Amino acid sequence: MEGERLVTSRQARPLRQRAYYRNRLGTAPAVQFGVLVVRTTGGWARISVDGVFRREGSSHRDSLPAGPHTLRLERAGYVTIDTTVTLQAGETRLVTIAMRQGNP
Amino acid sequence: MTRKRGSRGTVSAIRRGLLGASRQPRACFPRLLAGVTAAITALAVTLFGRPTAAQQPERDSLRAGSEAYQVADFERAVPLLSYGLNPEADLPDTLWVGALHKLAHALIETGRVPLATVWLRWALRQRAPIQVDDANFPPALLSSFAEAATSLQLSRGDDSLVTTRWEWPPGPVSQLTLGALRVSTDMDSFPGLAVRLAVTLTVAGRLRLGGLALGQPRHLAPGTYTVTVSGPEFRDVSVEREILPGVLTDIAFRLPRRPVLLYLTSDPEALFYVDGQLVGFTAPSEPDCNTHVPRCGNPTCVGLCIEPAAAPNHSQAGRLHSLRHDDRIGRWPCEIERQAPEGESPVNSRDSEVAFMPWPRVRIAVTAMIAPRPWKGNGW
Repeated sequence: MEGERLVTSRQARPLRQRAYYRNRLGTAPAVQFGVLVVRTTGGWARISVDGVFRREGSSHRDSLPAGPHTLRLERAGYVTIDTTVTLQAGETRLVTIAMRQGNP
Repeated sequence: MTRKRGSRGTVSAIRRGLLGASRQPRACFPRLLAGVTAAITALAVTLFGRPTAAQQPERDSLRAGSEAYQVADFERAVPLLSYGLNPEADLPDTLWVGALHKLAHALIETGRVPLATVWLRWALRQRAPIQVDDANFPPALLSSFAEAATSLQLSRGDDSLVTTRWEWPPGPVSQLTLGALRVSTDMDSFPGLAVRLAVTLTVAGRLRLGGLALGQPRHLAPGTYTVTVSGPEFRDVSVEREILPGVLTDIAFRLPRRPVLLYLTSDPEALFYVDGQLVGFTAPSEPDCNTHVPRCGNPTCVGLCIEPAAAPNHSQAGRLHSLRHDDRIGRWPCEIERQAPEGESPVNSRDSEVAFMPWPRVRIAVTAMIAPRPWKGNGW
């Protein structure tokens, strides 16, 4: 986390909109999306996708471009979990992650 | 003997399966009994029984809402969970409380924090204390719980004088739906009194909304409202209640009567005894009901202070000394009534007087007497 610049979801939204309009105008190849559903067991977590904090909770749903995405779940007193999920276009991927108490 | 032998033979034949159905008259009776029992059971379930837990639509709704919540489909989860929280559904407490957590968190996640607090306040008002699950739900939800609990602790109301019921919508509704409020009182059966009652609605104690007709539902945005019912002969009663989306909140008030002062006027003034106890002076003139508010112990207007709510069938008799012909017994703020009491014949007295309260159950009887030469040699 140290030295890493977090981009909030509010900052990320214009970037996505820009990409969307670029696609509509035909200036970029069409981006196909999939849906990522993250679900935690064993407690809530701070959920970040691609370095962007999304929400605190036990579930999160996001529409993302197809391709690999990094997922981080963290919470004080619990083991931080980093994983990568590769989304296919049009796919809804449910990822269930167990939170385990451990490092601070 | 023949019959005995025959019956044994029939039973043994039945046991051996040798007789057909037409030859088994006793075997029909249990079947008939079972059929009648089943019919009675079905009728009883239809008439009196609740559906089993698995058939309850509220339970199904909670299950579907929880599934939607677990995949972060909050827009779908919220109406399902809110429908399932119907308190009339008699759901297990753990299921109910878990659904409340999910609903509030889903509302927070969709940017409707105030509405989440309204739901939590409503839940805490009726089911406190609630065990908050801080392991599975994030701090934002705990903050909303704390805010709801704090506001409840600060609110004051006459909850003991109010009965609240909720009419839940027939199915899941959007959280943008208006709620409704209906107010009734135990005085509704007395049209003359009910028309003088006023219902006021206040938001956060500052913003005052228009009035509300008794017995008529009024649509309101979801939130917390202070409902006050007031009337000239009753103590004001206020309660805070939450209006939930799509839910009709029905509040029934029991209005306590104001203390009533029985006053006595005499010309000139006289000492006023009740049951031998000096309570003060009589009033020299009738109190001005518009400007003068008599209170018990007020030396200019001493009388019997009756608390009707404490003793609804109270009947109090007092002896009033030294009355003249112009003396009167009245009550404030109502008109003076006079009626001879039944069965009372005070010795050496003028006519006794009975004051009837404006409500039928309370009767205050005061026996007025002229005491022989009570005062000697003074001004009157």
